[in-house]
Amino acid sequence: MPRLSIRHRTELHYAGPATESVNEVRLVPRDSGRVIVHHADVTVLPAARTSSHMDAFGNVVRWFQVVDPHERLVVDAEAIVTASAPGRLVHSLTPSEQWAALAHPAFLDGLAEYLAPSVYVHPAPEVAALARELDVPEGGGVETWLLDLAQGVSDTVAYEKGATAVDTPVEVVARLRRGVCQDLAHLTIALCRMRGVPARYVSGWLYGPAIEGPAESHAWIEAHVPGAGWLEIDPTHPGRLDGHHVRVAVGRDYADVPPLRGSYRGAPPAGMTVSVEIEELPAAA
Amino acid sequence: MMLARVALAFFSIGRDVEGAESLARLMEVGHAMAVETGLANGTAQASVWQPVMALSGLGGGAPPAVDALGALALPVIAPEGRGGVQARVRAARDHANAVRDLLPTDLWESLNEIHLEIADWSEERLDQAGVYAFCRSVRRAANLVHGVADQMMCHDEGWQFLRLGRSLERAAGQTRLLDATVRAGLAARSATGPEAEVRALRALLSSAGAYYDFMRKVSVSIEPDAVAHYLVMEARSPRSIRCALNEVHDSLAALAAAGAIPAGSAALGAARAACGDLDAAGDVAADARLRALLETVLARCDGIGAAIDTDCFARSPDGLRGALHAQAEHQTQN
Repeated sequence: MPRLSIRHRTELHYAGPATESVNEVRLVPRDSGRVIVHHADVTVLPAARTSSHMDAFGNVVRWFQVVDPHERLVVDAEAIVTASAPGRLVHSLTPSEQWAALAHPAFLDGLAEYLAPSVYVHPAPEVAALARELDVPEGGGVETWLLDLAQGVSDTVAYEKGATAVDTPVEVVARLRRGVCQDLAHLTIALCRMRGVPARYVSGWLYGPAIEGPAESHAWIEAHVPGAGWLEIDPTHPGRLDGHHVRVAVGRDYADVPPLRGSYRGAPPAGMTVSVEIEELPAAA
Repeated sequence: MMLARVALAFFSIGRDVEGAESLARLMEVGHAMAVETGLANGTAQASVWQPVMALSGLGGGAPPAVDALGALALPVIAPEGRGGVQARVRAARDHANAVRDLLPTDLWESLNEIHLEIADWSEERLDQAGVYAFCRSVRRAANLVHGVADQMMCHDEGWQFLRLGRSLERAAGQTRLLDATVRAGLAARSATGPEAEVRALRALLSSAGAYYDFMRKVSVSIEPDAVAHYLVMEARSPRSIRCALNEVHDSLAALAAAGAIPAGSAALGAARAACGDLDAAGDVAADARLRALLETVLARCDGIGAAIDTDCFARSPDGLRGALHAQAEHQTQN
């Protein structure tokens, strides 16, 4: 279980003075059974007091405003966490019972928001065509189906930076067959919901000695297996998750969990840089 | 000090709810006029619906080729843009959502309920249930919101901005309505006969929401000069231009006293000047002088709106208009 020190810096520049900047930051990881948060904080430059609240999905949200004129805004999120691999799901239903349970009214009501269309994830003919093409077998139950689905999406959609934008619709990703983790996550969520499996978007960080390049802000998904619970799967790196995914926030899709969201008055944006540094700390004595 | 965007949200709630209500009233009266005059089903386009469209701001440019139902459906169904009833109610609700933590729960719930109620009207439902049911629904909803705002909100800066939006919208709307009627030939004591004249005056009073009050307080005999005087000068009637401008002035004065706008605000100066214009006009009759007065008042209202925009909603350090931008909305996750 590595202990990780994480620093996520967002730096924004404006073409002139900006005022009345009001923002929400979703970069404070949640303490859960899998991720233990030792320390987490958000600092802002120009200096601003931050206040904290939970959103509708249970995410920690830091809110701040900078009223005075400024031409540069820096938001630093820092955290020290211990992440471990998710535990195996314990199934109380047989595979056929799991599929049947997806249609149970109480199940549908309880997880309705993760089955309904959302801003970036909605039913589309292109997604339905991809589902038919993948034709993932269902005999092994919902968990096996989800792991196979993630593998199928990973095999079908090539990871390529720059091919899509953050707001690229899911049907375009299904048609292009290219994208980044956001696109793969949205597409997998769409395929899950289309089959009646509740699914949600996870925003977080990914670190691993085997992963090339700098650490990243990353996205994967959670899908609900009837009788067992939420299963984390990463269509960008299919297979069972290890302890290198640090879960920060969940929502119906990216629109619910952007790392930084807000608005301001003044000159238009002139640029944004985002850097994520993750360092493995020595094991605690 | 209240943030500009918060002030704008309160102002817009008042303005958009008032705008939706006045448009519904126009639709209702226009429909009644078309039916009473036997001009429904297409032939009422020029005499009834085009003026309604022009007043609502939905008929800008070339007059749209619409019949009675089309003219009715457009303001109702037009969910995009600022003009339609549904669009204005939705805008008011969106603004309320932006300042939800600053609103009394009663007011937020009222706005949310009327949004859901109005949004539920489709062209088909309008066709089945009728125009009156829709317009009554909008009017009752608007009165509910105004009443809840007045009775449940602290009368602080937020409420003053809401009141300012409502009264400025009403002052400009009533002025445009009277101006359009005068231009249409009311003052010329039209050659269409006394019945048509009375019908037009009744429509004017009803569109202004002042019909029953006028009949009870002024006269059962509807005379053009009395109607014009009542709609412009009767300070005790909340439907008059005078009363609306007084409200605009009083809310701006209260905001200046609270330091929410500059003491030398151009908006306050323009409001004071508009009230002065009415004082100087003396008795009002439905004649050419009235048209000149209405044009002056409309220009004053425009000036007040522009000055409020600069003084209250568009502050920026260099004095230029500050646009609202989304922050960091394109932060890609890889």
